[in-house]
Amino acid sequence: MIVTLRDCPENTKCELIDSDIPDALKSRLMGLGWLPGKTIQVVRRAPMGDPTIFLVDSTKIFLREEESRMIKVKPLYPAPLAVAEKGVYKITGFSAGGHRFVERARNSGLFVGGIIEVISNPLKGKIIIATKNGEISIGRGFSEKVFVEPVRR
Amino acid sequence: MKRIKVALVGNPNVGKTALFNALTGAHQYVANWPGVTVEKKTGKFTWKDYEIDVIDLPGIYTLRARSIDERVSRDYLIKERPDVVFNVVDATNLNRNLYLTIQLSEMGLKTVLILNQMDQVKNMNIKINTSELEKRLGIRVIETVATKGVDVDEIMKAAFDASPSVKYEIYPTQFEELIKKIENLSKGVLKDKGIPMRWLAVSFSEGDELAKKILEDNNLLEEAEKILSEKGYQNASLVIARSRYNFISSTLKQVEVRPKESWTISDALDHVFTHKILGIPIFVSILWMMFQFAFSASTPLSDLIDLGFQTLANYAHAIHGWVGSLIGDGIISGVGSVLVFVPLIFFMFFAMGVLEDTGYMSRAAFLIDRLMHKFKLSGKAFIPMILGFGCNASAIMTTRTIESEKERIISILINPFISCSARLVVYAVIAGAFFGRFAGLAIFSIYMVSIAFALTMAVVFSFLLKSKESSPLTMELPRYQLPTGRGLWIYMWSRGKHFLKKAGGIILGATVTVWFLSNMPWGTNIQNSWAADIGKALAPIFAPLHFDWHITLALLFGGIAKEVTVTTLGTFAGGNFSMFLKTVLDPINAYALMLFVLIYIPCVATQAVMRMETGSYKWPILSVLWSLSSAYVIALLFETIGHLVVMI
Ligand SMILES: Nc1nc2c(ncn2[C@@H]2O[C@H](COP(=O)(O)OP(=O)(O)OP(=O)(O)O)[C@@H](O)[C@H]2O)c(=O)[nH]1
Ligand SMILES: [Mg+2]
Repeated sequence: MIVTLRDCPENTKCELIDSDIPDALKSRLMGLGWLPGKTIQVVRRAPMGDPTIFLVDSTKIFLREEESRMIKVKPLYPAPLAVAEKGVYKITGFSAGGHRFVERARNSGLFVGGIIEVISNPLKGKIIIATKNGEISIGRGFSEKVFVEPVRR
Repeated sequence: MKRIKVALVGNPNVGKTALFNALTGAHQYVANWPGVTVEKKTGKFTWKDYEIDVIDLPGIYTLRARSIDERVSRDYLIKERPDVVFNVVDATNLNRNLYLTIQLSEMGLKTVLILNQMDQVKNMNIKINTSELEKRLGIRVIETVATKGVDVDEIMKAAFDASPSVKYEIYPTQFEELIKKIENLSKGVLKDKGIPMRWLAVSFSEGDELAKKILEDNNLLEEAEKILSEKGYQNASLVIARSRYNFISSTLKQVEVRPKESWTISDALDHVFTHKILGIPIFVSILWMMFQFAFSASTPLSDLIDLGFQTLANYAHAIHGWVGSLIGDGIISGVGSVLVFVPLIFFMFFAMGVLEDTGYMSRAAFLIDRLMHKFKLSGKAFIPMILGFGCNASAIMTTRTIESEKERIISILINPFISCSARLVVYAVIAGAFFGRFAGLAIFSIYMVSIAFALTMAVVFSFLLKSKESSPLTMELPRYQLPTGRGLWIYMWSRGKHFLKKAGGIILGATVTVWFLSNMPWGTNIQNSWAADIGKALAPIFAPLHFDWHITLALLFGGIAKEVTVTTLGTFAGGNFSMFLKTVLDPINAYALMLFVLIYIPCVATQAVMRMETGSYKWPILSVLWSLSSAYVIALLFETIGHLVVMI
């Protein structure tokens, strides 16, 4: 699925796609090594939700929401559920290691190694997935912390 | 003696200025964030029988310049054509740095590659085969650690046997042919103007405005466009960038061995300093700690100096006649009252040096960007604001890195509202006299007002200027590093020195003038002096604020440099500040006076820089009028409300 860089939560790795961004931004990014095909790692979102630090090669830069919305990327798996398109996935891990989080996830039928199906992901608002316990909808904040990898059937 | 021009060119924050200092023995401003150097600086040294002019330039990622500082570098390279370019690179990040190296070769500049930060290369366990790199790039390559000093002989020898210029044919064959066509097309017309042809052709294909303009001015634009569109290369910027990076990575494959990326100390520190919950509290406590540190570390020294001046003043008063009075009341009580704060200013700069050299600065910009955004400013505007706590005049220079012109003007206009170190002296005297134990708190509150007022004015100005602030923000976060004692010393000294010079020059001059005015006509008592006449003539304006003629006069002279407010009052006080101040002010007036001093007028030096950086008198004049009237209104409001509250 193609999403914007802004859609990618912390710890996502994604591949930069050639896209229509204003020349001013494009030339600057290219000088920093941001070429189509490069892997971008989403490192940190600022306390107030914007800007975000990204890592490409060994250079960390930060961009604001406006700019990162213009940049198109393809998430690399394992990626957060938040950017997963329709399909069947295996859960590979949680990025929030807290005990309570894992507990909560398990209660919703989400555990490492478990198989789930993404039924709809509008990239804004809730994601609808199917687990063994049936269909559930999960919030964005939660979905950003569940890492998945597609499985072929 | 032969003269040679050497330019230092490279990405931001790689150590160009550090190298400049190592070569010339200068003490230019070095700090760990991108965009420190914003104007070209020239230095000299002699080597054998050559006189070498070294030119330090602002950092650039590519030759496609956008902001003013970047344009300074690009224009210098095109127009001045230095004899040799030292392309300084961060050797731990060759992949990105060599991009500019390729562009320099396209400019046909004779280049020596300086692999700086070799100490970091070692720390990070990166292996670089320098002679192989030399062979592959066809240019001389020198390893340095600029902060520890350099081998001038080695570098200069390399400069002399550098090959005149190299050409990397790295683009797809079809595209190389197009470049040649454009080159040939323009050769006839442009050759004599010294414009590098390959640069012109490639940059034009990339969509560079300057290249386009040069072609347009010489009536070649249409033909050049036709050449590109024949083969569908109208928008070749991606092809060009990709070819460059392909060349770089195939070169580096043979030259560099990097260990697998792992979690570094920098990453760990970032985890804490940019933390969602902890980040901002840490930031605020760092500011508070800086402030506390400067005050508590400087107090014993200040007391000592104060004692020294009191003793001197006693001796001076023993001298009879006007000499005793000039030295005792004028110079010692006046200028001395400012010199007492020299340690405070130096420690403040020391703390700022730590902030700037560790690499925390750009993290702070990251944390606070959202807030700045609400006030219609970008994270880049934040750095001049923080630097303004040191000195507004030099902070205003750093606004050059801001791309949007309107946003830059706004940043310039709000900077004087950030309370500089000179004003700290004024607060310290007033708060010391009136607020006793709470003096520190009173001063800190003024700083908070300072930030709040500057940000509010940013909104007002962006409304007035209809700024829609659109420049994209891409700010690099450098590695953290431990500041070196030497580096900090140089930083503190070179900034604090300015304060000492001011004390010996403009402040001394103004103080002597005030002393003179308060003793004329000769022999009268101060109440009938010229100083009193001037003060009393202006005092009605300030009557609503309850500032009497002493204060009025002090504020008038304080417009030259803020410290003069203190020296003037010092001349009147004749040694005992708090007693004197208490006869002319009550605590509420005193705080109002602090507010007034915070806002009322940018000092003469700052006005001059405003004029220089905006290229017009309009902005400094606006700034003076604006700040005078807002200072008046705010001080009046505070007093009225303050007195009402006290009466209840
Ligand atoms: N470890 C190490 N640090 C260095 C070296 N050279 C410079 N630095 C540090 O790198 C930072 C940047 O140095 P500057 O000389 O200000 O860099 P610049 O290239 O002039 O930067 P701009 O003016 O912003 O373009 C400072 O914190 C220096 O102390 C080096 O050889 N080794
Ligand atoms: Mg510099």
